[in-house]
Amino acid sequence: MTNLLVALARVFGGNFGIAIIIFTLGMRFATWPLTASQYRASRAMSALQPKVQELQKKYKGKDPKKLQAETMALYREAGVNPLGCVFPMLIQMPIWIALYQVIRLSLGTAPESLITLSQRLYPIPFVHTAVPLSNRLLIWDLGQPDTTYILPVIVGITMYVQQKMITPAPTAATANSQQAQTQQMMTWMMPLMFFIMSLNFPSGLALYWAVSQVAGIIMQYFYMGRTFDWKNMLTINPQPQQPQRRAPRPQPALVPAQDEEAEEHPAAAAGGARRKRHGRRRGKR
Amino acid sequence: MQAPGSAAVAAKCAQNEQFVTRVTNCARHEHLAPRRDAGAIQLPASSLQRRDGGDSTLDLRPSPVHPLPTPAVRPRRRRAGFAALALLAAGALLAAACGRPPGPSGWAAPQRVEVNGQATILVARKSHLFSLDSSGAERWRFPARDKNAYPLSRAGQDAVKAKIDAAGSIPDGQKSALKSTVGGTTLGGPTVKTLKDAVNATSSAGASSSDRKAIISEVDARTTEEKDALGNVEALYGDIGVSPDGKTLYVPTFGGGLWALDADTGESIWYRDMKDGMVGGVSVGGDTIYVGTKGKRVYALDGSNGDVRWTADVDGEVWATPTLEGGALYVTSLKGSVYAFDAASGTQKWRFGGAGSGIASKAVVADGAVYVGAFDNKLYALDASDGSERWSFSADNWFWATPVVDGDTVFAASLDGRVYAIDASDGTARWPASFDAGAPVRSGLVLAGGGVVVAARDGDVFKIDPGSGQAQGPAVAIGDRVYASLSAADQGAVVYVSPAANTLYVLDVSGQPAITSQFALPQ
Repeated sequence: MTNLLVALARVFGGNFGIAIIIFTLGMRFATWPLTASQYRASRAMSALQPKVQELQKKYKGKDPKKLQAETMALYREAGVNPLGCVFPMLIQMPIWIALYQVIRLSLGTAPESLITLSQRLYPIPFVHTAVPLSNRLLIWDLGQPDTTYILPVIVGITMYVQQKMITPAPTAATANSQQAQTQQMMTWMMPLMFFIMSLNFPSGLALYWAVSQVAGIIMQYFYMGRTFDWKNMLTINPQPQQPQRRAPRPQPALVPAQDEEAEEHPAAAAGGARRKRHGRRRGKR
Repeated sequence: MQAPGSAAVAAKCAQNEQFVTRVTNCARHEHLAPRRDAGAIQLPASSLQRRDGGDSTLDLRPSPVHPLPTPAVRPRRRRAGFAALALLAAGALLAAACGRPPGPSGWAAPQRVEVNGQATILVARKSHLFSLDSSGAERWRFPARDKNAYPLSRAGQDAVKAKIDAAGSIPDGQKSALKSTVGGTTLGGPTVKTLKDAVNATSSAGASSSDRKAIISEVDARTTEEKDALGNVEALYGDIGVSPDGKTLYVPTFGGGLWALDADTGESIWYRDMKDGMVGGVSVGGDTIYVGTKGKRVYALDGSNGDVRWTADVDGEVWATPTLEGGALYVTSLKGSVYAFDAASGTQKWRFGGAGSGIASKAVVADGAVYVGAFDNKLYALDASDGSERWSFSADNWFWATPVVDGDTVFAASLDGRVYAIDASDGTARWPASFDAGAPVRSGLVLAGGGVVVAARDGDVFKIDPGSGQAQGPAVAIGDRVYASLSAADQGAVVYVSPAANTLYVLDVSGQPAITSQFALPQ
């Protein structure tokens, strides 16, 4: 990977910053299938919530094992991995580590690091003529941590935006659940963590993250058909949305059990706003 | 209908204040779980009063509760989420701990310097310069252990004395007394206070407060500047320049300060902030010294006080010591150019830009030719008068170590771990096969004891027969990384090897290379 980046830098007149940007965009396009499936998964998950809800109603209290099996079957049918959106990030970690090593080698201020770099280069004359590499891009010294806070802030903000875009908005069913809480915690903690990391790591790595996130946001925006609700950006605890009605209401002529389910649904929907109160009064039958 | 016993439960629950809630809670017990088709449960009206006074019929069906994620799925998501968070937290901690790239260590070459008839050895280690006597004992170190006790440079003292002289309101008698007090000023501690008090004491003799303030601010400015600079050495890479009389050492630092030190005591004569770090060393020509900086500039300074004589801008950082030969100064740049300047005036004579990439090594001038190795894996021979290329020689990796010239042969080593002997007239290899040193060679070669002495990065020191290219005797294994160039003394019988660790090795290469002594450097 060292050679790839050095060669890219050579192409652009020794500018390592441009090499990083090109590399990042290349990585994003190469991993597009993976991220696309992840977007599909999160949308499918939110679409599945009502079905999951129904399953839970059906089996609740009776047979938890069956419920779990049915839920997993449902997920499997839809091709969804319930593990969430952290997976792609974990996969990307080796790339970050490699990029960090390359930056340390090629852009290290110590002359000793250049000697180490010389041993890593393949015997291709093109690559050998690339040194010295310019470690400046605009105002940043890519080998040193960013002291202007610009890149770390960009990384934090873009990560937050992307988290919001990926996380399915919690439905009435999942609000206050463990999953929703974990997701909300992650929505805040991940950008914060990356902000801190960007402050300490060389700004070349922060540049990679920033470019990668921006590219991801743009791609997801267009993939979602420009339907993203930007108002959701700043909500800390978005109000649970009403579950979308997908199936038509069951007819009253059907089995009484279903009849009562249908009756319960309007009750549930109407009582949604008052859920939090304990001891809910039921009206007259 | 109700299950038996539920009446008892209901009665129990009936005692509770929040009657409605509790009944429904009670009803959630499995054995009581009413079936969906169960009708309303009739309880005696007298035993319950609904709060709103309504019908006493209770609906005991459990109210729809929030369908919690199933136990099987929830811990899984939770575990995954927490695992990811833990991983990221670990990453953040790791970043904070070791996110910054490693710092520089320095590789200034050791040297023997004759001081007052005594032989001393100058050794650099990271940000410290040591002067050792011939038995390895420390004579002085720079920067000193106690910065507050380190005297103000002579130039700094002269500047303060000049301010005293310029103070019109101080009587002459007081002036000479003050100036003698300046002589003992150190960079911090009680001596500074003594001097300031002495200055303020002249007010009784009629000195104006503006004059006194001017002197005191000069004292503060000088002491603060030099004390900060002592803490900002960072590393020593460049060759230490030695004045012709052996009394002054010129020390370029990676942090950007250039110091002129007294070779005997280690006290500073003058200090100049060069604004940019220096990787290359200082070249001395009479009373003028020459140095290049990372700020793409070459300076010619007055050796006695650091005043600038001329400067020249080059196209890249200067990472090598300039070469002074025959009235011309040859400078190499990290952009790949070789410049020739007139040493007296600084006018550029020519520039060679034909190297494919950076040059970090020193140019060697011999017999009207300039030999310099570059990062494009080539060693170039240029004509010293106009910079035209005579020939170039290719290796498998960068040339960084300073080559040596012996007669009509150029000996050069590359980072590919091989040593080459090249015919100076046409650039062809002299030896049947290049010498394999086993590890990249960054240290400059020396001619000593009738052979070419080479130190590879892994610490092996070889002596090579110049004619055949074979090793003369087994290699000496220093056992540590060697980046610093070698230096020879005593007509070549003594060679200093300074590895990255805290030991200086002295080798005898008159026969087979052998270690004669090792000096542990002071901590």
